[in-house]
Formats: sequence, C-alpha cells, structure tokens
Amino acid sequence: MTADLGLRAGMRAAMPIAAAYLPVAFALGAASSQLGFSIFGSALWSAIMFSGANQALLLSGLASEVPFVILALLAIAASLRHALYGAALVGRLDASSAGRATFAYGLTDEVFATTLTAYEARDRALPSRWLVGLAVSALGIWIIGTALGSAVGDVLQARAPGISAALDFALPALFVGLVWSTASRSVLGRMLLSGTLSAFMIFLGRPELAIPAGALPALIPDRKTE
Amino acid sequence: MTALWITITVIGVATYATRVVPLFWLRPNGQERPRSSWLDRLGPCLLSAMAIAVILPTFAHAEGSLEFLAATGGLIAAGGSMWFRRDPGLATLVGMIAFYVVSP
Repeated sequence: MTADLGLRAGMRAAMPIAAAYLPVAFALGAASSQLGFSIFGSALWSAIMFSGANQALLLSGLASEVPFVILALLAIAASLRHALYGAALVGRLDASSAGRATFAYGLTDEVFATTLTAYEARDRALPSRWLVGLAVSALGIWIIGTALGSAVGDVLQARAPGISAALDFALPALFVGLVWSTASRSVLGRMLLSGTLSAFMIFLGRPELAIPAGALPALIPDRKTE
Repeated sequence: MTALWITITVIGVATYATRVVPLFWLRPNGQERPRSSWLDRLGPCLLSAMAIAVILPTFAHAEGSLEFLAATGGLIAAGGSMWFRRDPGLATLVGMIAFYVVSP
C-alpha cells in the first residue's frame, strides 16, 4: 500500500492534470510572447506565479494598461480561495513540514481536486512523497507547457485547431471524473447545492464568486438522527 | 520591465502564502487535529462548484449546435467512462476523444 502512495504514484496522479494544463499553459505562453516575454521569461513567469487565473489576469491587465498595484491586489484577492483548499485538506495529509511546504507551492485548483479524490478513494492521510510527486509534476508540466506555448503555441492553433479545441476540453472532462470520484450519498445534496450556487454566480456575471459561494453548503449542519 | 517582475514576484509570494498557511494548522508530529465535520464537507462542495465553473463556460462559448453537441457528448463520454472504471485520467482521455470526434 505504501508503494501506492509513493513519489511515482503522485507523478502518475498528475497525468490527467497534464492533459488539462498543457492547452491552458500553451495559450498563456503564446499570449505572453506577444507581450514581449522570451521563452525563458515565460517559463520563469509560470514558475513564480503557478496560477492560470492570476496569469491570465496579469496578461489582460497589462494589455489594458491597468496599474501594477491594482493588478497585484486583484490577484491576491483571487488567490484567497486557496486558503479554503488548505483548510479542506489539512486533516487529510500525513506529511512533514518540508513536504507540506513543497506541496503548497503546487496547490492549484486541479491539484486540490486530485488530492481530495485520492484521499476519498483510500480513506487515509496522504504522505509527503505522493503529495510532492503530484505538485512538482503539475508545476513542471505547467512550466514546460508555457515555454512550449511561447515557442509554438500560435502555430498549433493555426494549423491544427481541432486538436487544440480537444485539448481545451481536457479540463471539463477531468472535472467530471474528479466529481464522480468524490460524490457520495452523504454529501451529494450539498454538492448539488454548491453546483447550483456556483452556476447562479456565473449567470449573474460574477464568476469570481462561484467557488466561494459553492463553499457555503458545507456549513449546513448534519440532520440529527438521534 | 523591472516593475512587472516585482509585481509578478509579489503576486507569486502572496499566492504561495494563501496556499501554505492553512496547511500548517496541522501539528508538526503529523497527528491530525480533530476536524469539524464542516471541513469534511468543504472539499466535495468546493469540487462541485469548481466543476460547474469550468464546465459552464464551455457551453457558453460554444459556437453553433455541433460544438454544443460535442461538449455534451464529451461530458457524457467522460461520465460513462467513470461508470465503467473509476479512473479520472481515463475519463479525461475518453472525454477529449469524444469531443474531437463530434466537434465540427
């Protein structure tokens, strides 16, 4: 069972994330080159920030000439959702301080979802090696994807748009699998309510509130059976 | 360019802080603090909200009924794959292939 949660298993768990990350990282890399980043600059940018939402925000803000201070404040506000991920995972990890610190660097939306799914499947705390394998692989894929996008992203989009669109669909398909893995009778009602609240925020034109609003059903207390 | 890289670094450090600080609520010896049940429920609820936030824009940005059908087919194929084998990686691949086959 230990081998099942080793470094390699963590790296394998990152493969579905790789399929989802590559097209997004490609697109960001291609866009970053238009803003004057070199291939190395694009890779470094991804290594430092490792957040698709924040990187997209920075790109669009730069194009619109939004002041840097405003961009930083918006990105920090958007990152506060990660605190919820840490709160949800904290009791599900059996990792050293170094392991947790390393894992945290890669705690993106998709890494959080994959970690939670792995915990629910095994019902035991996840060790450092697995966590580090997952997070570092996801980070590496993200950096490579951005650098590749900076180098050849525009060419792929122009010459093979069908493949490019299918790659874009990786993220929705991945989340179908992750939600399916996590759903259980005890939380299904709350999950449906979370999804409804999230959809409501998107329809209201406030997508940045979709995930925080979706957290609210977790606060509904269990019905007492005694 | 220097101001840009300072901004990137500030955002990167702040993002890391939001990710790492809650993880150190755990005791150093690896023992778990007793968790309240709402934290147990928080993960699946967040996951559900994230899925909707990712899936809905796919339909909103669909150009024409065939793209809409491709997205629907891709999601059904991913769900069908999970029905037969609970492997999110395989479901991702199956969903992408179905989307590619159906899309215009």
